[in-house]
Amino acid sequence: MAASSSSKECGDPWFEAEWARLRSSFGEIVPATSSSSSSVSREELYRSVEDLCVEGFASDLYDRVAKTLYASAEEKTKALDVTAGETLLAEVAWAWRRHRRETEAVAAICLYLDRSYALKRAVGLREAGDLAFRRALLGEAGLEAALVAKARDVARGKGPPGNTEEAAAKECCDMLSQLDLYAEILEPLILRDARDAYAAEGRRLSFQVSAATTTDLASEAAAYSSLVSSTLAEADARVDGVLPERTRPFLRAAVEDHLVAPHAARAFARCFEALVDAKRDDVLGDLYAFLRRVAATDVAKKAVKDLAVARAAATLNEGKPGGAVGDLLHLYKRLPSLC
Amino acid sequence: MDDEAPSPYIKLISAEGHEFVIDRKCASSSGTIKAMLGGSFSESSGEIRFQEISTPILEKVIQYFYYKIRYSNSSVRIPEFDIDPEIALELLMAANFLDC
Repeated sequence: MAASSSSKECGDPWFEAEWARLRSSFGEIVPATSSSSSSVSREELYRSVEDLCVEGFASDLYDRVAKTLYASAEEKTKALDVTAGETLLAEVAWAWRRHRRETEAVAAICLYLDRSYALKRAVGLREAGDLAFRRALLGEAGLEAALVAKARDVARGKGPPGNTEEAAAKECCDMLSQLDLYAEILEPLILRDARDAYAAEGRRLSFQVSAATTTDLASEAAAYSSLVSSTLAEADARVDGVLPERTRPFLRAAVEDHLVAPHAARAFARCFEALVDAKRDDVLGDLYAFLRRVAATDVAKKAVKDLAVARAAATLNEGKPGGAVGDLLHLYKRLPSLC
Repeated sequence: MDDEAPSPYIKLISAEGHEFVIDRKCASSSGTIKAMLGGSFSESSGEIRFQEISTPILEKVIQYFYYKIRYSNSSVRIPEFDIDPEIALELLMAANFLDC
């Protein structure tokens, strides 16, 4: 943050004395927690800040506060061990939490500065605190790469289920979102990993279908439905557990691109008759829902029509009473409700 | 102390030491007072001493708090809030300080 000019010279004895008092109060107020109150009077500090602003020292004070916030953030990021491995995410999350508390305390003390100067001519003090931590994080050699690598591992599910790393990873992802870094340095990698995994699964599906000798098409359709549903659920779980909400639609789109779009239509057409005969409305509903996701419900219409025509022809040729065609048409109308 | 709910009343003390016990919700009309009551400062106990706001000014400010609460989102005709011109400047400075 660049220093701005002031009509009064910095180094004014009164300004320096007031600043020293404020600076020491920053260190005093932060250790106080919600279960205890400090003896520091906020009214006195607030008045001191007001006096400084009224006397024309607002920009100097803002510069000093911004530099203090940056120095504090830098101290925390320098203390982080980028080789910490398992505990890195927790340490980063702790540093961020501590920094936010300090920023909040400073902003509370300098409330008059915020509302009379900062919010009008610069960024507010809370945002200045965020920018300070962002700069410190990016400026620390190796920290960004280590943090991204570890968060990526947790997002991919590497680690024992229910591990505490997930909570720390979630906090770090939220931190990166707050600092406008998530979309830039982490999300693209997570989405790339997801797309690679889903694409590999899609290729396996293609091979399986093309090599299939099974006659149990109903079970084949059920397995496919189960695979897509569980993959979607797993993507949602990753967002609920670790990733920011903004990533959800991208992950679901990746599942659709690699598992639904290439296979749903073929699965429906191939397995429709078997599912009707086995009365597997549940699987039919799932497959129809997949078709709807990729705007391919015409496939269902065609499958019903083709089967209805075939069954009608069979009924006429064999002289059997035809109720099956009516059942098929009724099923087609019911498909949306089965989803 | 902090396991209990905060008192619905707080105490504002003028420069001369006069104490005004007022409704916490009314006092929170002032952004400054509201911020002082939160957090970990000494004022979080519910007692705020204003070393540079005189008694008549603080009294007028408190009257304004109740006036604001009474007539905010009100459908009745809102009467004018009378301000003696002699205290207008001092009141303006206090209002700026208290963000209200």
